[in-house]
Amino acid sequence: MTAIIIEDLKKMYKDVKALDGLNLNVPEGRIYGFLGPNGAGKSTTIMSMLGIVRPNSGRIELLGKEVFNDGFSEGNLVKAKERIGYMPEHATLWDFLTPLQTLDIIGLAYRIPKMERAKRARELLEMVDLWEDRNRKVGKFSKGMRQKLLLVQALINDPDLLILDEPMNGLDPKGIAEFKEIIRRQKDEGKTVFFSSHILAHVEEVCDTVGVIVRGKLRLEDTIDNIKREFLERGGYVILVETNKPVDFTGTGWKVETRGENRYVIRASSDVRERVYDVVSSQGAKILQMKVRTPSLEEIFLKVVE
Amino acid sequence: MLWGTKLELKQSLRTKKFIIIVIMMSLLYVPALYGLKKLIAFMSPQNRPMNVAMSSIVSSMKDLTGFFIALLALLLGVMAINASVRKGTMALVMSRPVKRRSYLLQKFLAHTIILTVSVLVSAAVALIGIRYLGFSVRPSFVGDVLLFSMVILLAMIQFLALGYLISTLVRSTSAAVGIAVALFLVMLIVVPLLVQTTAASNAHRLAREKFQNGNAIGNYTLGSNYETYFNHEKNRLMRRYRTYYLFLDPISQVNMLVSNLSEIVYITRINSTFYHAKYNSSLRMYLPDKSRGIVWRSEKEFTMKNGCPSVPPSGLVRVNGTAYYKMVVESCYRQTVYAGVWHSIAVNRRNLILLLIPTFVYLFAAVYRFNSMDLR
Repeated sequence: MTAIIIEDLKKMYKDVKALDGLNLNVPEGRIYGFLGPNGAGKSTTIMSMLGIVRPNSGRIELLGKEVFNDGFSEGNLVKAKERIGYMPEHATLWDFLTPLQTLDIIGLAYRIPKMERAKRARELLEMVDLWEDRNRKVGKFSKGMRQKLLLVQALINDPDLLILDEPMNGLDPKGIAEFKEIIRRQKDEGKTVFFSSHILAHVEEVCDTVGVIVRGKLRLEDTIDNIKREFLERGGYVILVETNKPVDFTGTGWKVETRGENRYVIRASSDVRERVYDVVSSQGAKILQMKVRTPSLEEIFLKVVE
Repeated sequence: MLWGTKLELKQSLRTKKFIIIVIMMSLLYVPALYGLKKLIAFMSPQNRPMNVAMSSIVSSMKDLTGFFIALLALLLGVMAINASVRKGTMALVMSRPVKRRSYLLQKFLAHTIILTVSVLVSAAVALIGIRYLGFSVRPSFVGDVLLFSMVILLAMIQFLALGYLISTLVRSTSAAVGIAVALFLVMLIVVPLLVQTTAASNAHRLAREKFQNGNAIGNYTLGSNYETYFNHEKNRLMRRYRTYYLFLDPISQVNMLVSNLSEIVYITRINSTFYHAKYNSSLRMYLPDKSRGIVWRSEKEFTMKNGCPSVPPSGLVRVNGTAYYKMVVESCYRQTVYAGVWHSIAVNRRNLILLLIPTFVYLFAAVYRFNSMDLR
């Protein structure tokens, strides 16, 4: 089964096109990273899936239930939401409730029995080291603590599909590590995780599939390995060379940029270090320094966004 | 299971919103009780009629107290939706398995419960205060105060629903409060004032037509002078205009609903026995309504005195073989008795409907609007 299917989703905010025919496909059991620059429509996509934002047209299917087809089916949406956990982008919680009260009232929405709610709340709070602070008001929490509580409130109903909007904002490195661990555990249990981010380093490590959204359209959707390979093949291999005198690289077929005195950036589709050496030495020059830069997802991302 | 209601009530308890509203509402009748205390200084402790207490409570709604409950309920509603959308907690709520329409109604129910509790507390304060002032509080009086409180509750619920509508239409909370206050001024102060002025000027016109050059024209019995006639006509027109023009002003409707606390009872007699009278339009006279029993039986043969005109011989008519006196009811057998809030509501049931309809209209519009809103 496919966890999320989005077809030709369109959404306008007044006269701004937020989603412009978005198509998305998230198979079950995947960790899907949803990337895009600020304002690309990541949050709008997520909120549309949950019915928080009302799209103009298109189709959304969640966990095999058609929740939107040019209009919401509230019954299906409610059924789907029973099995979905959602973590909103902004650390918004009820400031005057304690973590225990927050989890209790949210658990009530899923009609979890009282005893089980308490048990689950304890498990979740211990998981993110908030058990000590269980009776403090959330209003007094730091951003990181709120973020952790926001994450576990999404897990209260043991969801089959976890939707996270910029989950790692405001977390310290330890928090990020914990977070990644939790996500991996979800995957081990066969659950689907869909999360948006604009920080690629986060996505690169945990996700197995990535989708890149730019101006309301999906520009790229593939596994990270595939994306990297393809990028390299399209001339994404970068070599930095510094020589002792000017070298002419014309006729090699590479894209060469000059950066400062005798420094060159060579873009090729494969590892051409030996040929670079040949070209340089054939012109009587010497290589002072040569570096290969494997493209990071960041670069690919920026390239796509352009 | 009404999760939205539980959530809202829990929040209201934690933020102390609930208790603040209850405390504010418990002070509702304090000015009226203070006025009543000053009033009964002139009455003997043995004779403190309940209708004095009731009318002082009811009349408190005519002035600032009415505006107070209006603003309280309006402001409670005006921030119900937009504030949590702004803050972001609405996204947290709407990601749960709950339908949008149901959530709005569940939240509305929670606010209605808060208002109900606060209105009941204010009624309890009024009853305790009246007892403390030396009135003997009978069950019928408790019933009347509760019934009056329910009327006030209905008005507050209408303001709450209007607040919800504004809350779904205006995203900025400060703008919504501004609009609510402006609406409040127009609906509750400017328009009623205009209507009142119209009623007065129309009453003046009617009085002028009646009393040209200071003399009454035609057969006129209601008032002997311009002033009395003018006041009578003004009140009559005002009652009419409240129903026809001020149907969006719940405070006007509340005032109408409690405007007939007293009932005019017509009494007629057969020989020395007095019965409630019922007007028979074909005979154009009052006949005894025997189903309601005897009002009073005289020991002696009754003779008209104390300013009541004696029945002229021509006033004796026969209906089904029984002789009746044709009474001059207007001047002699019209009695004003305290009839209670229920009677007043029954007389003005049109205004009860006018109090209910806008509530449903506002609420329906709010649900419709909420259903298509982007809650981000």
